[in-house]
Amino acid sequence: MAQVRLVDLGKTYDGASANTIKGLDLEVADGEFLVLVGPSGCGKSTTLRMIAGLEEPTAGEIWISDRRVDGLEPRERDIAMVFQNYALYPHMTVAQNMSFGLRLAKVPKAEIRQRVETAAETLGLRDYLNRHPKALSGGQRQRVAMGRAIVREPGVFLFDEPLSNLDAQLRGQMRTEIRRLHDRLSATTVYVTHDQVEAMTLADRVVVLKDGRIEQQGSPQELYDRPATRFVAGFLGSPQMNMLSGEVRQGALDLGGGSQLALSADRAAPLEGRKLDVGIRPEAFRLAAPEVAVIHGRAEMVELLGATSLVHFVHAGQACTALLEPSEAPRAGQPLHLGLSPDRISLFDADSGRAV
Amino acid sequence: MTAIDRQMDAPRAAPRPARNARQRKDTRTAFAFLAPFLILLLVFQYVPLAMMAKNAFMDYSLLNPDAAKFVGMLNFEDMFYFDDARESLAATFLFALIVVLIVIPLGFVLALFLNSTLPARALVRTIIMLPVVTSAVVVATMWNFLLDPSNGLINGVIALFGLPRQPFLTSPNQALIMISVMTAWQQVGFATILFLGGLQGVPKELSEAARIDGATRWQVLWNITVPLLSRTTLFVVVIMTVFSLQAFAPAFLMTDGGPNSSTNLIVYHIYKMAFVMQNAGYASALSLVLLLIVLGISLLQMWLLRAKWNY
Repeated sequence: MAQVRLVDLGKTYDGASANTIKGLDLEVADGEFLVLVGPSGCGKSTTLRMIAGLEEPTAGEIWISDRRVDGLEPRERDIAMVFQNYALYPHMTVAQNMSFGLRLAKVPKAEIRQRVETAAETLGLRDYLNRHPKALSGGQRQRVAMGRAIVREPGVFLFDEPLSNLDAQLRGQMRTEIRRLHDRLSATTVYVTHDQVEAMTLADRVVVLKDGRIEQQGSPQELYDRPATRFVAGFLGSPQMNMLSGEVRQGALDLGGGSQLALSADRAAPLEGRKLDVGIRPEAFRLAAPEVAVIHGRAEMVELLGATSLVHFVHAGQACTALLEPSEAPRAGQPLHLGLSPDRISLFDADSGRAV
Repeated sequence: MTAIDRQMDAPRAAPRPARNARQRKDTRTAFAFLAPFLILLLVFQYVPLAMMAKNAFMDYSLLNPDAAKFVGMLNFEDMFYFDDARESLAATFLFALIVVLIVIPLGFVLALFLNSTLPARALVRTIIMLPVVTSAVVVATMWNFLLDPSNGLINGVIALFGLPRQPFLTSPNQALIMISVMTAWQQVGFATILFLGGLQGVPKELSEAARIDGATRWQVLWNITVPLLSRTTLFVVVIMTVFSLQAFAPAFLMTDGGPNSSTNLIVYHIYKMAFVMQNAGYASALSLVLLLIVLGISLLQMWLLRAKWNY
């Protein structure tokens, strides 16, 4: 198995004014499932392609285990990669697709057959080994692409948005399969996605990238509960975190619209008078009696999701969402009184966007 | 079709629904647009073709068309009885084979070069496309000068290395090879463009996936690019074969079919039979055979190009 280490990695494209990747430092531990997540253009795919050797960095170093690999060909890096559009060889059968790398490596025929069959068994592809990719469904093609990676038993698995071409149901299914596969093989994995649900469900560690820099990294729960920046707060979680403007005045957080939230003295003191952005997860709200409620408003629209209800309301000119029990959720047009615990809010500096 | 249409058509026995007024108008418009081309095609292609097919079974001379008389299969029997048709077709197929053998690998390599990020691509593209757009007469005349046994540029270069001057177009052993090389030189740009189109249709991820699977650049080329271009290659082979089978200018302008009939390409032979030997019936029969050969090659191509896979 293997670790991956990126040291001060940089990538600039000819003609582009700004760096795509700027001084990226990152370590992926042996057997870790690391997810690189971020909006399009944040440099996550470029980073992955540099690890793979499909693009050369313009600065910094890439290490896999104790070898420096930047400058080496992809085949010398002990990696396998699963592409977004599968990239299966159309003129080869499933078995030929999966065994291509082994055949190039001159692995004995008996061993090739055994490895391909084991992988096909794992991925439920036994009955499709003699088919061409054209005759497979999207989900099956995705499995073949994964099988092609597995049979080579590489040190590092690289995934480039592998699920984005699948429909929603299949995506959920493949997500669990990928995680189960990883638990079984415990191979070092770097997984790129723009889908925060994939990031949250798959990762041992999530790295949020923005404009070619690491915005925050940590376990999915850490990032969800304690986002380091307003960007991370807004990016992770669905429905999105509510963002209200606020200011600390005399030890209490003023959320506008006459709403006040009492803060503990040691939290409030250093923030006195500062302009803040207040992040509140939709599930942090709970219904409260009007006299103790923090936020008073009117339910504008209510979406019933079955297990929960999404209540949309406006507070101080800001559209907000609360996640409530369907049984207690008000109907559209009814008054809404919401309570809020101070330890369930995230505070960001209004100018820098960093958590305070 | 709307629900109302279906209701109206339902009682009728005819399985094909009647065209409504708009569909009829669309059909008329389509015919109006196609008519100019179809009429020209009919008058200048299919009518002469039918007349040629008829003449193939006649003893027929252009000097006295009225004296034509039906001779049945005699013209076709002559093809087997005399050696001229067999020899001409053999020379033509050899010519086509040499052209294809030069054009395919060379066109492929040039397309790989044009598809890369190497410098001077634009210049090379212009250089190899120039002969394609140049008139065959100009090219043939130019190569006549180049290949001249006494004053030709190529013999000049050969003499510089102290090697003996070559007869080229005046040698029965060299003439066919020389006009094949010239034709290949002229056509390679066309093949390159076709190959380039094929190369650009191959998704980049496939060669990336192969490189990650452990392939060297040569192995990617051999295991991925070449097989994926098999359909393009087949297409280029057929285009070049059909083009070579119909070649006329080199034999007419450079060798007069000689020396010793070694470059007597079939179309030139047909021309000589019809307009020099005044045996238009026999020429028509030869033309019909050539048509069937070309048709057969095209059908074979269509059969081989059935999609087994795609990307």
